Amino acid sequence: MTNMPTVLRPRSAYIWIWFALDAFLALFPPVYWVAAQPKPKIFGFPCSIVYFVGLGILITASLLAAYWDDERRGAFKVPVAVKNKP
Amino acid sequence: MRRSMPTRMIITFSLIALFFLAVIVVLQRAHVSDKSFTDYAVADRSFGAGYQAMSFLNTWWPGSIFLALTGLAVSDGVTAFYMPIYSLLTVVLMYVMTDRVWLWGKLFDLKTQPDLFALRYNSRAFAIIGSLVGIISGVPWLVLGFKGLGVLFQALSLGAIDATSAVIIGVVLMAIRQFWTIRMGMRGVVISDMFQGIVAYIGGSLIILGLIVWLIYSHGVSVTALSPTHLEAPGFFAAVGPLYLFSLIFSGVVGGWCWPATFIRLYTADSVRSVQRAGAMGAPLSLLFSVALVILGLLASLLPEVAAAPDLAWFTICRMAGGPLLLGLGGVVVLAGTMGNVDGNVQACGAQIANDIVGAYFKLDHKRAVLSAKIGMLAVTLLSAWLATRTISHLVTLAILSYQGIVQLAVPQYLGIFWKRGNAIGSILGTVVGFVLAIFLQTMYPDGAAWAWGLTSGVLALVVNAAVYVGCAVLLPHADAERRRVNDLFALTEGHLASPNAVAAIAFHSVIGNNA
Repeated sequence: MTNMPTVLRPRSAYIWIWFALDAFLALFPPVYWVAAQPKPKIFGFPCSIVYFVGLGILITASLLAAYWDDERRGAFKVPVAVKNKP
Repeated sequence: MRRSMPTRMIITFSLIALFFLAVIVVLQRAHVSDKSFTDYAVADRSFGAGYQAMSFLNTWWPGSIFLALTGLAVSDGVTAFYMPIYSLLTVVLMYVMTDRVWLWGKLFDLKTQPDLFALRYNSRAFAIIGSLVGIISGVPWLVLGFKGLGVLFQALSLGAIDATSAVIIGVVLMAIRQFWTIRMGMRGVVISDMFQGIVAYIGGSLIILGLIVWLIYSHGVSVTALSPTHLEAPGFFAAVGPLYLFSLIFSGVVGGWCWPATFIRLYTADSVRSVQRAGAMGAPLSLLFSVALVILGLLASLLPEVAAAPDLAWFTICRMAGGPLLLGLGGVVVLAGTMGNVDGNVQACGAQIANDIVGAYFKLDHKRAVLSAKIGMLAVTLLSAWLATRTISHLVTLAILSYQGIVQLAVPQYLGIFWKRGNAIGSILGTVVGFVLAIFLQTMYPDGAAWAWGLTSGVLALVVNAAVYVGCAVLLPHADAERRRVNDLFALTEGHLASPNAVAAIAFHSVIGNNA
């Protein structure tokens, strides 16, 4: 049964919260009604550009964190999905 | 020194020829005879994270994105950022659904998205419906991909070739390229994706960053010089409606994995780890590439030459900054992106035709299944190539229509993966009602219904689709045997060690067992 796939253990709660935050900031309309505007300027850049670029970095970081967390907790090392006896 | 027209054309077209030749060499050297239909359709689930990452990007970002994203940023400003955002959220969705999708794929030898539907809902009928929706919806986008090469060759000829001839050159080139897609199946697609992806997204990103620096230092442009309208996404008082941006991002996220060519990527990986590692590897490159492309478009919108023709912004900037050499390189990255996207779509269509349509009615051995897939790919290639040479007045409308239609697969797909109670009747009824409603609404209100607050036809239909699906799940609960089967199916991916007998029992009782 060495060719059978591994089964993952549950993912950490903070990763789920981070993923939910990604979705909230991208999809909850009041957020972009306020943030995707020319003003105020943040570090000299228009708010809309800071919002979109910052959101992109946040989502990317959440994916890297999720993968790092899965590796750290050994999620990919669970031996086998199928045991030999029923 | 200003070069003559023929000299400039020799430079641009030579670069294209060199790239095309390199792709063919890569494919010829990588050729391996397929040993089974699984080998042909999903490369025997053999690819690691690097190949997976580049293969996903090469399918996700078509070559036309260089033109579309810069053009959108030039004309509509920061609204263009919706594409990078939904593309990244799509990877998050991939990350969370991969465990179950990949494991079921490995355990039950699933090869396509309709295979997953057949297993989850124990319904070959719904698998056929899903397959037809995917193939039909994909054709207008394939035709657009072929036609996009016409724009490329016309730009590379610096206007010396007329539009019709340019489209024919593009169609012939892409049709020739499909010889290797048909011959090698998924293995050829993924291996060439690696080379094409490096050229398109790493090479492309370097060109984009160089062009941004050139614009800042040569023309003194800056984002602070942009007009307020370019720096504002549709807000609460927008004419398109306050929920318009939500609609674009939401339908992009959930629709991403409804495309056969994208979904099949989940079955080419050698493990769950490879898919998730690919997400972590691909996301930073996707972020850099797409965000830089939007910023390039925003900055370039300040140049009158670019603002005059937003759709050609990419080629205009390349030509202005680096003459025929950079124009040629700009063309190469567009061609590399287009190849990956067209190859992936043609291959997925062929796999679904053989596996989910022909295979549903006839028992196919390995050779016949591969032959069916090859004939399917050839038919899709020839049909799309022929349509690309015709004048189709509503092609873009058809493409938008097909997108609003295909996102309807999202309800049975995601709810089927994450919720046990959905059933075959709900998935069929919901998808059909959603598909018809989406097409009706898109036809009635091509610019969006005023009463919908900016929600697009696809999102409105998704709400009805989901209501039908959930209603059927509540009112028509599973029979005991089906409930046990679905529970066992989910148990296989919930950390319990499954017995071979349990896997065999599920396969035997489901329609997958009949075709495996």
